[in-house]
Amino acid sequence: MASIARALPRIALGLILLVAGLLKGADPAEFVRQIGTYGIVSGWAAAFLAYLLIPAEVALGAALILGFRARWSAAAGTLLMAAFMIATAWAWSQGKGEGCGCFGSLVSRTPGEVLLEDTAFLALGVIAFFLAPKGARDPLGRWIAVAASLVGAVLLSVTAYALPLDPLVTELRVGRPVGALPLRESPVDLATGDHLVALLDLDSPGAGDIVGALNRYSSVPGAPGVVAFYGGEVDERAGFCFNYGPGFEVVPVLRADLKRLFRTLPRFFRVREGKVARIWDGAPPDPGELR
Amino acid sequence: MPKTLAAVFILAAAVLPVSAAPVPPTEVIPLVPDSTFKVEIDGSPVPAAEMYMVGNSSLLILGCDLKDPILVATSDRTVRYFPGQGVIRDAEGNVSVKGAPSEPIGSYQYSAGQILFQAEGRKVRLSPKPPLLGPQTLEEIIRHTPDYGNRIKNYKPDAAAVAYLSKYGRKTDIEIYFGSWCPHCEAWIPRLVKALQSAASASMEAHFVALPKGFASDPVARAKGIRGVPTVLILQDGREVGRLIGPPDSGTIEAAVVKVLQTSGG
Repeated sequence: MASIARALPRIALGLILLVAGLLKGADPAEFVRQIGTYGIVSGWAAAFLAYLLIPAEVALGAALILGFRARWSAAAGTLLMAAFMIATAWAWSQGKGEGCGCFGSLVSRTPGEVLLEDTAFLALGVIAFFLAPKGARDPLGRWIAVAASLVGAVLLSVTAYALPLDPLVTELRVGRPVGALPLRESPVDLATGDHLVALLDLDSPGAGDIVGALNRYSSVPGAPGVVAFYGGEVDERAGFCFNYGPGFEVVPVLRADLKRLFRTLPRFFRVREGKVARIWDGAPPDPGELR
Repeated sequence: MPKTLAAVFILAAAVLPVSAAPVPPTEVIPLVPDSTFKVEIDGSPVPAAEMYMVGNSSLLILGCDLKDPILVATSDRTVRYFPGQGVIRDAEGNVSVKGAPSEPIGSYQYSAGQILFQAEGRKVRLSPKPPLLGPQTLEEIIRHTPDYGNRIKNYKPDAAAVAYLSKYGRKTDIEIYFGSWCPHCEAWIPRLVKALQSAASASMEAHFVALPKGFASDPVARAKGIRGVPTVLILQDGREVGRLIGPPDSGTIEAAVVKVLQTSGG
């Protein structure tokens, strides 16, 4: 019983790191963006750091849960938490933020909340370090499991967007009522009728082709009304409209809300009588699918 | 078919020829004020010009010293006249249109955030309006972005929150940090303003501070720890008792302010 109690802080920290690492691994581009918002590194360096941190976090989480090299793992976990705290503190001190409507992790919490949460995780690491058994030998199975978690995390982050993880990672699922979607400020009433919602990056090179395809739906009998959501600023909308001439509403929604609906853009979903009826990724649906 | 209804169909067809939505069977099309651009004709600013969105993305320009209002239609990248007598302004200042635009008088170019076209041999340039910066009054904000006024007028605030705010007696300053370039500020700040106006509490005063784009290095934003807009700071005796970062996760923004006041001991 005592050994289980001694292992609890280590396992708790391991679970936190494992889950956090897996979520980042399922959407590595978003993690790259988040690292960029801290303003410490950007571009390829942010991508390199992201793809390094994801397997490190997952493998460390697995090692802590399994008790692999328990003291070393606890020390590494504590150092990783300390590094996150220092990065956050630096970003705060530099006034880094996410602008308009993003409200990511750097913005949506107060310094006190961030400090409290990170201090709790750091304390878990320190306790786990001091409670970890010294000099225990690790059976071969643990070595294999930790190595597998490392390789698995690398594979996950590299192949993430080819894997069907959207239903797990995003909140957009077929059958879900639109009232349950995280859209705090949609001025469009999706609760009744038939709608095709396009989640767009207005600056993407393919935006013109998408507008052309969506505009053509107006001639398809029985096609739903189209509305596009984007998470940007006023100028972006103007540029999009005057360049491409959308024949449908282009509506700003909070990027923080939009992000919960996609891993990659563009994404399209049909809403019928208040429920998500179908989802398309990458390209608008064929007109025949809308009849 | 009545003549006016036919005209509306023609207007809608000109503005929305590719819209998937059917043309609304109405004689009058209400317009939404747009504050994205400022107008210059032959290099001279036209401060009296007003702009309105028509349909999903076309733009109607009034008061720009041309023969008639101008319709910039995004669907076919054309510029047309819209008959001045078809523009209706009601007692509350809302603008609607009735009638049909002319045949195209030209086309526009969109480049580097600017719309350029020729009308009556004159060069018309629509360029992005500079953002508001620094402390602002509500009147200044509405003058810059008229849609704030519309949204304030149309919003129905949470009655319970208004009742609480109206009885709240402790002197409270509400500092609202926003960007005139931020659509989410435009969606949420008018709601808070309307709630405060409805409460008409003498103890509450709202202050507006406009931030530039990329405000990370702005001294005011840094001093106040603003990392996203809109952010609302609630201060009593000069001390911050709470802040709302972005819209509330659920419920109304005025209810979120009430929650802060309740937890601060008010």
